[in-house]
Formats: sequence, C-alpha cells, structure tokens
Amino acid sequence: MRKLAAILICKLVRFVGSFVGKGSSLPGRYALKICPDILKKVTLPEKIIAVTGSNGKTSTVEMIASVLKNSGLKVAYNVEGSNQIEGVTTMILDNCTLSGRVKADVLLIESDERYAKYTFKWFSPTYYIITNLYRDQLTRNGHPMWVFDAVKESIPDDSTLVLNADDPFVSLFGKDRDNVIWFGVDKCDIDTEIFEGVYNDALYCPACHKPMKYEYYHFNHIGKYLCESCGFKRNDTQYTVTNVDLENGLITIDGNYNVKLAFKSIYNIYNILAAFTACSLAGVEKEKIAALMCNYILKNGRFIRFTLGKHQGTFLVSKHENSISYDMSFKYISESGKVCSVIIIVDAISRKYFTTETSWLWDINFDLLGCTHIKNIYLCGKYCNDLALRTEFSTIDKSKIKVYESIDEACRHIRHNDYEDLYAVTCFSDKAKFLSNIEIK
Amino acid sequence: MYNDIMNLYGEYANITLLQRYLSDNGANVITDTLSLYEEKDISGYDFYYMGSGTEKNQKIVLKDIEKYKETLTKASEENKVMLFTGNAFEILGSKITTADGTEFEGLSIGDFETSEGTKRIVGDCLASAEYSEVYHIGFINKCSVTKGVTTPLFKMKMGFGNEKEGGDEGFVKNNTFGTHLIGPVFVKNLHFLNMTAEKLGCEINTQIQSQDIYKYMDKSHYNSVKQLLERIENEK
Repeated sequence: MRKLAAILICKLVRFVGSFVGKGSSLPGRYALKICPDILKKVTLPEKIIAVTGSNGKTSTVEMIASVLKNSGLKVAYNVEGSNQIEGVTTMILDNCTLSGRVKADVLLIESDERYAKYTFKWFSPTYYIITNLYRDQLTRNGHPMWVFDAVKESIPDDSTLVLNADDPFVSLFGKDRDNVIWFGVDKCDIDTEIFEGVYNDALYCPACHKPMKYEYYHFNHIGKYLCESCGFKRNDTQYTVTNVDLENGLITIDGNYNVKLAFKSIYNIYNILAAFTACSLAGVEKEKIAALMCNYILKNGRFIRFTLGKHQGTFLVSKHENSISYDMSFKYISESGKVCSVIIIVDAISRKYFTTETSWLWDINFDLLGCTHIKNIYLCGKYCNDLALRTEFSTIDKSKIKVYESIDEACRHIRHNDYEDLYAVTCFSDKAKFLSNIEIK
Repeated sequence: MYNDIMNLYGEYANITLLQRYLSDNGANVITDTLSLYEEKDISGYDFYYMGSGTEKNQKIVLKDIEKYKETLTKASEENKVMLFTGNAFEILGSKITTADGTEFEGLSIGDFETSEGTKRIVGDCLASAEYSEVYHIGFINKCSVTKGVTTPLFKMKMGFGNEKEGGDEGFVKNNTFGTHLIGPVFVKNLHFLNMTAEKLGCEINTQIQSQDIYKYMDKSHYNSVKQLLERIENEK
C-alpha cells in the first residue's frame, strides 16, 4: 500500500512540478518519506548500470544512454543529472508501472560519489563504473580520500566493478576482488615520463604509502604506475584504447574499433572508453557501439561554439574547484596552436552553495597558458583579482593579462577589438553570464 | 616540511608568496624541502612550515616526524617562526585520536588534543587576531575538534573554531603558529604575511605594496570580507 502511495505521489509531484519547472529530486524525496525502502520494493530490470567518480559522469551516462537506445534497448536514466538518492528515486518511480515494475531493459544511474552509499544500500548495480577520483569541490567533499571512503562503503559485494585501471585510487577498489572489469588507455603520443601537474596526489602508493613509480603519465596521476614495495600496479585491461591520434581526432579501441572524436581531448577519450565498456557489457556488439559513438556531440552543453563580434569562439565548460578540469581546458587551448585569446570567468564559485574559497586556483597549471600563440588573457568576475594573483606566479607574460571585474565589460571590449579566435573557460555556475554576451552557433 | 604529501589545498603557495614577499623586501631567501622518509638535519632554519594532508597522510607524517621531535621543540622554544596550517596544526599538540579510537602522539609543543570524527566540518571563515584589526579570510575543512588550547591565534566571527562554531581558533606559543585554516592563507591575508615576515626579522618596505601582486591580494581580501560580512548580515 505504501509502495503504491509512494509511486503515485512521486508521479503526481513530478507531473505538477514539470509545469512549474521544479527540480527532479523533490518527487523522490516525498516518495522516500512515505516509503523509505521503496527502492527495495520496486522490480528493477535485470541489467543495472551505475556510474560514479569525480569527473565525466554526466557525459559518460549520456553516451551510454544514446548507444543503448539506438541499439533498440529501452533505457531509464537520470537525464537531468539529479544524482543523489532523491533524484534517482524520482527517475526510477517515474519509469515504473503502478505495480512497481520499471519499464526498461536497462536501468542506468549517474550517482553522486559521496551519496552512492545511500542509493546502493537498497539494490546492487549489475555493473558499477568508477571513472576517476580527483580533487573536486573540496569545500563540499573534504578531499579525494574522504570521497574514496564514501564510495567504498557504497560498493555491494555482488556488483561487478568496472574500473579505470589508469587511476591508482580507483584501482584500489578492485584490489583483492574477483569481479572486476578493467578499462584503460595504452601508452600513447600524449604521454609524458615526467609529472606535469602542479600537485601529484599519487607520489606514494595508496595501498602501502611507499614511493610509487610511473612508467608514463597520460595526465595528472592517470597513467601506468607500479609500487615496487607492495606490488600494487596498473592492472591489465579488458577494454583498451590501443591507439590515440589526437591530431586527426581518432582513437582505436581493442585494436579494432575506430571512433572519430567530436572533441579532441584525452578527457573525452576516457568518457568514450567507459561508455564503450558499459555498452559492450550490456550486450551491444562492439562494432555497433563504435559506429554509434563516432563524432558523438554531447548534448549536455559542455562544449559550445559561438561568435563574439568577429571572434570565432569555443566555450570549454570547466568546473570551478576542480583543477584537473581546468588543466584539460588549458591543455586543449595550448595544443590548438592557432593565434587566440582566452577569457576565464570566476564569478560564483558554485551555483549550489556559497563560498569565497579560491585555493583551487593554485592547483591549476596556469603555465599551460604561457604559450606564444595566446594573445590576450581576460580574467573576469568577482574573483578576477584572485585569478590575476595566481597568473603572476606562472609563465604567462604579464602584458597579456587584462583584469575585468565585469564580464559584460570584458565582452564589450573583446567584441570591438580584433578578430582572433577566442576560448572561454568557466563553470556551469557562471555560464549564463557569458552566454548572454555572445551569439551561439 | 612534507610538502610532498601535506599539500592538499594548494598550500605550496604559502611558501611561494612568503619567498616573494621577503625577496621584494630585500631579503635573501633559501627554501628547502623535507620529504617523507627523508633523513636530514633540520635544525638551524628560521622558518618551518607544514600544510594540510588527508587524515591518513597526517598519521604517516606523525610517525615519520618523531625523529625530529626534539629539534622542532627546541626551535619553537628558541622563538624560531613556525606555521602549521590545516590539520598539520594538530601535529603540534600532544595527541590525535582517530574516529575509531586509535591514538597517535604529537610533537607536544602545545598542550592540546585533537579527536577526529566521521563528519566533515567545512565553511568559510572570518577571523580576528590580537596583532591586527584587519579580518583574516580563510576556509576550514576538517573532521576534528581540538581541545585544551589556552593561547589561541584567532577569534572566529564566522566559521568553526577549535571546538565549536565561532569561538577560539588555532594556537600561538612563542613564534609557533597553528591554525586549521587550509590552503594558501597568505594569499588573501597580506597582513598575516606581513606579520610573519616581521617575525622573521625582515624590514618591511611599505612601498613595495604598490606592486600589482600586493594590489591583487588587497582587492581579493576586500572582496571576500565584503561578501562574508554581507552573508553574516543576511543570516541574522
């Protein structure tokens, strides 16, 4: 009875909410109040795929959903990215019959890394994908190992873990465990033998804390590592990017399946590989997955082309309080090679909570912007002075730095001056303030 | 000290800034690092610094730092300047107890104890100190309470102190300073940087503060203080 009431209430609140534009977590919250164990009582599909980790969750889930749907499978997933237990409950009940059966072949869940333990207390994902563990939103998350402990608590014994073998912290979840499937990127052109980031969280083995060695780094602490003291090392992979040709935007998976990249970034490659692995495990043929993923353009608005006056622009949505996501955007700009300017906006650090904390700026590798093809760097928003101070301690030529507290003013200046390419780097929280100034293609 | 694993929130920048400030004021600065498992004579330095680490890394440091206990205690007694920020501050005390009850011995430079819990305590801070009327800006990110400090560094106008929301925060003894504020605390607090430089015997040339970097620091401080005061006002 409670089960039916919870399903009805959830559907009702969801229906009403859709008119007033209310969030996707409220219906689930009501349902959980009425029936706290509702997630145990509903009948879930045989295949449940869950994705968690610091970066790439939403993109990975979007790609998995697209491939599965285009392969004729019915997929239920949290398309709005509302990824704590309330949002997941809304999504599940929304896709339920009144008798409590989820009408889908595959249930696909993006889960918040710290709150996954509350969701997976009630049911086990068949495949549980963990993408990476980075310094991310530390004002909320504490630190990566604090998140590690929370994720560890969320892992049910009977789930098959699908892990990024190149991330030593993620790999630690699979230590001494049988039901693990590993994915990773082989040695490729973009690798370095020397660590290039500002900080290295993997200097010491996460298992025994003795010094760890890397054969190569793909970026940050992602690469091929080995601890000579306890033997902890990068696992051999079952799903592998065997070749990366960033220049031509082409990768090869498992030596055989080519995927053309709509966005030429190593970041994107990991999301594609994780999605490829998930879809293959869900039963789709590899050839078909690769074909469906070719030139896939994400619909979640994290990569936008625009014009501002005579400037052709590329918007690289990054995440504030997440230095690796900034590093990736900066790397993309530094490798572009063509004369350009960059606008960086830090105005509201988060859209969900208030903070003035900017220590994460010091974790970003601003030296990546110290290259000659960058003409001007515009630093904007409430925290323009924090940005400016940070760039003082980088290889960026000081004469290139322009500081504008007002985003509108900076955009006006750019609009009426010159015509070089423009890259905009900021977070969702500050995206709209910039979008109102530009013409989207 | 232990910059290889006690650098969780960009703390290296404290040293970058101090070095720059001292140099700009005409001092000749040599910076040295001490890594985990390294064996080194660490006596004779004018300034010792340690930043934040994960709870696990802090425990690894506690074990490794035992061999330097005598040297560091002596340095503190001899009025050498020491700054321990984030959970490195806890190392200055006599004991740290983890959430599961395991006890670790600290340097005992201060007679205080820390107990870790399972809840994360995070939040922006506005703090005042005796030596300056200007507010200090910072962020607390910890999972512990520290009890027994009789000579605190800050009074919290906003944020969690040693034991509770508001109240006293940090620790001072001689020229040894401890605070749970994380990250590059010097960045937004030029007056704190200035005080540290003065303690190090540096003669401050106030004219250098017209340089861009000090202007940026000043504006950044002003912006944060303004926002935090507004927030306090709105929450009333």
